[in-house]
Amino acid sequence: MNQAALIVLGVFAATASSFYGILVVPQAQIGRLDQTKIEETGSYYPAVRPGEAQAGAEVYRANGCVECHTQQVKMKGNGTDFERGWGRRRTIAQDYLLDNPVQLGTVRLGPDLANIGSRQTNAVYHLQHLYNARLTMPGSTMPQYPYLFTKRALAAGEKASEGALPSNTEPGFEVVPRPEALALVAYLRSLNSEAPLYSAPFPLVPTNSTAAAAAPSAK
Amino acid sequence: MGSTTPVSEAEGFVPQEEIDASCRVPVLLAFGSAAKWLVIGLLLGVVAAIKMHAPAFLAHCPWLTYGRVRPAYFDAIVYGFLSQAGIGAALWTLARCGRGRLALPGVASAGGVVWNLGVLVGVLQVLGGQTTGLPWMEFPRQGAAVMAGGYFLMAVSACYTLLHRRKHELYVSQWFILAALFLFPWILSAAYMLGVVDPVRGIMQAVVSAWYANGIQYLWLTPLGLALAYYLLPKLGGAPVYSNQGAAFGFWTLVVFGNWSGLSLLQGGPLPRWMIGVGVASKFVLLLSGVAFAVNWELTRRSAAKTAPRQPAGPFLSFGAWMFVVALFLDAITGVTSLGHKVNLTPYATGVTHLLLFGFVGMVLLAAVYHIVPRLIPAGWSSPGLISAHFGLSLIGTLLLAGSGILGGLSYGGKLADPGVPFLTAVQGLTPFAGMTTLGLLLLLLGGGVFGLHLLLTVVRGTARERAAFCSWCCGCGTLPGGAEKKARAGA
Repeated sequence: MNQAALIVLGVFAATASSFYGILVVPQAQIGRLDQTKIEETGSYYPAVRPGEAQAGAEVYRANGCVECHTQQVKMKGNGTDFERGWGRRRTIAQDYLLDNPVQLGTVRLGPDLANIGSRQTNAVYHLQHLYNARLTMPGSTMPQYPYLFTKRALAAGEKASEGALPSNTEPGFEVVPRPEALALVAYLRSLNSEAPLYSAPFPLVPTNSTAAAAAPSAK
Repeated sequence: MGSTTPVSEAEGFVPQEEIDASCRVPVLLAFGSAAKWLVIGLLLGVVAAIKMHAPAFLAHCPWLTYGRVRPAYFDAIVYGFLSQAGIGAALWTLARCGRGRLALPGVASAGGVVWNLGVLVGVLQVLGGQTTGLPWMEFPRQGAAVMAGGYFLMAVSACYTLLHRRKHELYVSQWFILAALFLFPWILSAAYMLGVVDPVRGIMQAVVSAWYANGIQYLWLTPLGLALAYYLLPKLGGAPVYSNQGAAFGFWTLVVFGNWSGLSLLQGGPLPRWMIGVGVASKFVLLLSGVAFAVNWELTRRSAAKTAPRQPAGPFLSFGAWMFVVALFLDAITGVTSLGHKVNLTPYATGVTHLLLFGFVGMVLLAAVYHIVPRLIPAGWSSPGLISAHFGLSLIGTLLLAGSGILGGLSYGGKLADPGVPFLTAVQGLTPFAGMTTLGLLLLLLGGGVFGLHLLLTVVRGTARERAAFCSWCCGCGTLPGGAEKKARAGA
């Protein structure tokens, strides 16, 4: 039994050390972060999401959007996130403070969404993209989500109801987003990690006019 | 193995036939469940893979949307197939190495049933949209809790078997199994407590899920795979393990650095640099564990007699054993910055994971199943041809599946690294690799189907006598094997 006891003790020690070093110590370092106040605007960052956007976060989670999309802007020099316009600065721990669950993502089969709220503000675009991504981006491999919408055949000459998607979405049919679709779009429009923070300033972009480049605008 | 010369009773060792008889029901139950989940998981995987290049496929069904069916596939394979094949093989190995019967086989069988229920609940919950959203731990707390309950029952049987073993010295396999049995409940409960039940705030959730994912790979599944590899190597190769110290070095390196390498999964992420650095460095040291195993493996093979008879489990074992160090190597080299930046957040990591899971753990556990079943069912496998067919399909399927991720990731990462290449163009470049993935999964599914049917056929044919006896016992006119007589209903 001594051999078994030695193994159990050794395994326990190794696991306890990693549990302490990987979970406990970082929790002390970054787990106690709180909202910070942005001096320029007086608002707190990250802002609490409004109710519909929070409901949309649940739709995002439930449909597994994280399987293809990430929500992290990598630092300069690691990849081409800045060049692709996915963010003006890298994302840091502070940005995820109020996310539950944190949908960091592990693979990018679609563009990064950390700042999609500032990159694409058109709600109708988002809705059409969810209904059938090939309408807004021909050649896209994103799945379709028709079950987030209600489709109804239109009689000849009948006009679509208010709130329906544009007629080019499905000619001859009225496509009305369900509350889940609207919530999801509200969530996507709330995704914005571009507040300038002391720990993550905007990297300076070398231009002819250094004054223009050096002043980050608070959004 | 399977000789008829009696083992020395004076030493207290139980005869092999009795050990195998005690393992029969729980181990066959575990293997049958594993085969079932292999097929179900791969079916879900094929649906997910098709959706990658045909996005309108089954789009109207929310239960089969890519974001739900993909994690359902993955978790069915990890918890349904690999874990159960591993536990079943581990229980048998513990009993055989300890030279004693499996303790509390009824409890182990009950545990297997409960574990299956947990996986079923978890998979249905994920398909129904209740996924936690955290990688590798998508099962909500209910599914995970039922699975944990099943685990506890099986672990009780394993612990008693270990405590009441007749041979006190522990063999290499028993070290790995002991470590895996100890680590799994800790990793599962800690991760679920901190990530799901009372979640930590913000980015720490990503740290918890990375620690968990790494733990399941390197501290649960890998030790089970290595345990069976070390058990089967002398049996199939004909020579004892070359270096016990080498095996011990590999064991402790795995346990220590397997624990610490979790943070390498978050490379490039929004975390302090020291955390990522520790994880990446640990991955490099973990590679030493793979090297130790590969060297031990090769030296043992070379010292074996050339006339070792060819066994059906042989090809699975030979291929699987080498995939361990290959997968570790492909994982560790992403620590080199230039490559790491290129393949970060591409399907490369998915490909390496598939290589580890299907190529190493899956193949070794299948070798174990093919080795163990004839010891539980004396009639043996019905058809050796089906075993070869399964191996061929699995080999090509695994290489296609893992290769599509690794090569696709390298190609995709290269395109993404060029800001002049539009994102859509880069993603469309993945389509041929998505086709490779689909083909690989289809071949694996076909192989899994062959395996499942073969297992069913073998069990049905091999237990014909018992089933006939059970039927006549049920009717009240016969005896069960082992002598239990049922009084005729009229006379009771």
